[in-house]
Amino acid sequence: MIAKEKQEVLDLKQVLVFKKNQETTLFLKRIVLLAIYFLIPVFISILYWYEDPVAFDPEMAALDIKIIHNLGSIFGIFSYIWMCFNILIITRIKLIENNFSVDFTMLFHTVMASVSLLFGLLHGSMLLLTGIFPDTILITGILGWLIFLSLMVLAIIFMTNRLIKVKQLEKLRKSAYKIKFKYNLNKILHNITMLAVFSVFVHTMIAFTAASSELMRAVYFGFFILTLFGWVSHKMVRALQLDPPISRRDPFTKGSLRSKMIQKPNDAWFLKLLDKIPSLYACFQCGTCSEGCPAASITDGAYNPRLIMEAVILGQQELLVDHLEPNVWLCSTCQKCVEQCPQKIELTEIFTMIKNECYKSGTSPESINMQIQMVFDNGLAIPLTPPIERRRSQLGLPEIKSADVNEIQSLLKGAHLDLSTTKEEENN
Amino acid sequence: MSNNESLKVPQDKQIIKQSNKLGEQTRTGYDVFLGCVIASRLPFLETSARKIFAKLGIELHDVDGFSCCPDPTGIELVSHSAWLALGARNLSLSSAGNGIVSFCSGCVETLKGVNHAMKKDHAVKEVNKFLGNIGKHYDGETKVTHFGQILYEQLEKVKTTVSKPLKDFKVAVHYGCHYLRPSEIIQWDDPFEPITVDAIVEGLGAESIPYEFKMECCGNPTSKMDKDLSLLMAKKKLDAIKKTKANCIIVVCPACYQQFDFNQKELNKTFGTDFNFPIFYLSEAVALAFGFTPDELGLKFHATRVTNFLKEINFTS
Repeated sequence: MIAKEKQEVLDLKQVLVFKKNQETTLFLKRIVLLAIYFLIPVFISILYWYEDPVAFDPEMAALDIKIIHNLGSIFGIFSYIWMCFNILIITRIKLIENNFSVDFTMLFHTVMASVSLLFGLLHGSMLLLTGIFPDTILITGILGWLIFLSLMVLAIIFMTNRLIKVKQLEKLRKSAYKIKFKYNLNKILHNITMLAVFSVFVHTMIAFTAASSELMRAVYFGFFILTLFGWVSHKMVRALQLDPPISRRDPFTKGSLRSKMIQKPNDAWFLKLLDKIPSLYACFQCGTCSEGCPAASITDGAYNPRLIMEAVILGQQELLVDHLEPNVWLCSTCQKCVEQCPQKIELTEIFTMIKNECYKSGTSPESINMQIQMVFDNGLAIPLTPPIERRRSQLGLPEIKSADVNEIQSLLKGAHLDLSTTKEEENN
Repeated sequence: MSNNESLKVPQDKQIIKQSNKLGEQTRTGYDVFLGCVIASRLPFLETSARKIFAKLGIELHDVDGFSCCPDPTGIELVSHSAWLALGARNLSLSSAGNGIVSFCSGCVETLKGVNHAMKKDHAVKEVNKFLGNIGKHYDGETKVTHFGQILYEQLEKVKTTVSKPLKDFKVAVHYGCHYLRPSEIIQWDDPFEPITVDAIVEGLGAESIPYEFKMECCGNPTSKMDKDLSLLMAKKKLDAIKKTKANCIIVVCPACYQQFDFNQKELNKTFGTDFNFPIFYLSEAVALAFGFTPDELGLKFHATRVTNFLKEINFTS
């Protein structure tokens, strides 16, 4: 007996050690990946300093001008390298997806893209202080930067929910949705980034040709090709459905719901939901909700929250409410999806609204209907019967004076829930 | 318990700022909100809860006229506005300085959820239009607390009150969902790495055993639509607990309690498993450690027998 006990204790300790090791490995991998992100531009800056492509004639320019010029160039290096990295990190590279949450990756992308843009601005303004540049350099640089800026503004308004609490933003999104400016259109527009990348790439090639630095040209060319390759392969994977077609995280998705659509997208219905839950606009179908869903793992995806969200986005009111397809009632309201959603979308509240509609159309489960009838008739979901009252007094518990049923009924009637007629019908 | 050290729940989480305000909340007391399941189906859970609060010197006031909370996994799904109206009415009835304490995670989620909804202006108007029909008013100010939170905040006092440590209780703690989530509404423990109930359990002299799927749902709410799915969800958890050396389960929510206590036999029949875990409500475990006897607590009303278990581990003779 004692030996057995010891054995079990050992097993458990091994499990804990294993878990701890796993956590440590994950932590180390994250550190390495972040180090790559932050140190590579530093190395390239050192390379640049060493290469010193813009040799100043000390008689022509003062030392402080040279310092400003080199500093401005280094801002440019960071801006360029991070521009490439910021695109690469959201092209579903497994190494990144396995080690960072979608939430973190997106936050990182948003913040660092903004920082890169700021560095780009610093680069431009500092270099303009130090001399005059040819039009080609100016045009390509400014064009790239302006495209990035407009896309960033669009993304902050329409693609992330981090600032959703701002009232004006909600209104803007609703009006945008009304003129068919939906999330997916934003996603397509966001691809214009590649045009900006190209413009900036040309900008650097001209600049380093002028400075006649082959090494820097090679480095910049390499990063451009890497980014282009990452972007194209990401689009190919998606177009050819080599991976789960839509989502990053949902292990159950076999195909899109589009083939099962039974009605034209009901935009008015979507807008009604959006009005109550503004975060809904920015669902990009990553499937993080399904990944963590306990009902999804047991039903092997027959129930999965991402699928319901897709039906919502496609405005499939009839499918969801009348046909229970997919069945929103299999949600156990455990709220894990709400907690994990990288876009902070209140999924359970959306499901509640759909379920409320099901009740109105008569597709809610019988036990739920019975429960609300019970509350309407007794004020309690489980009435206090004489046997239970006896048991309560046996246990020395005080008598319960629960709510006056008439009061509850007039309250519920006022809240648009009148079940008294149903009951009379039943009695007849 | 040679391995107690390695399994200690970390105490240094930043998320819980209010720790151990000993005696501070004992004077004015709480209004107790029982809810339907505990009051009308599982009154023995209420017995233990009342006893431990009395022992800790925390005053509980009974309020006349409470209705169903109403159920966040039931009524809210039928009519959000009815849920809001009933919840706000209940909250408007409380007058105790510390607000409401409930022994049910579902009631806590509903009442906190209604308060959360009332942070929006239009909800305040809507709610008071409903309440106006019955001559009531609610401004959204009633504080709501889960009894587990009070026990954790008074953990030092709980520890010193323990007279019969729960030696050899190897506990699989099941937090359930609504004790933690949505964290924006509940504003208490960490939604995925909670520590409070483990800390209370360890404070009683028991051992908290880690297990896979600890954070998964018990499956109770899905039984309204699909009984099989609901049972499979419970089975997944019980299977995981079976793989450890845990010998009992502690829960903090009556829905989870019913799911595990009532369904083990059915699971055994359907799947040929041999689950026989005694299910203790957190309040029952605390009451046992405070020296109350199983008879006083009405433990005989459990569907999965606990008396044999208590004898086996020599807790009772």
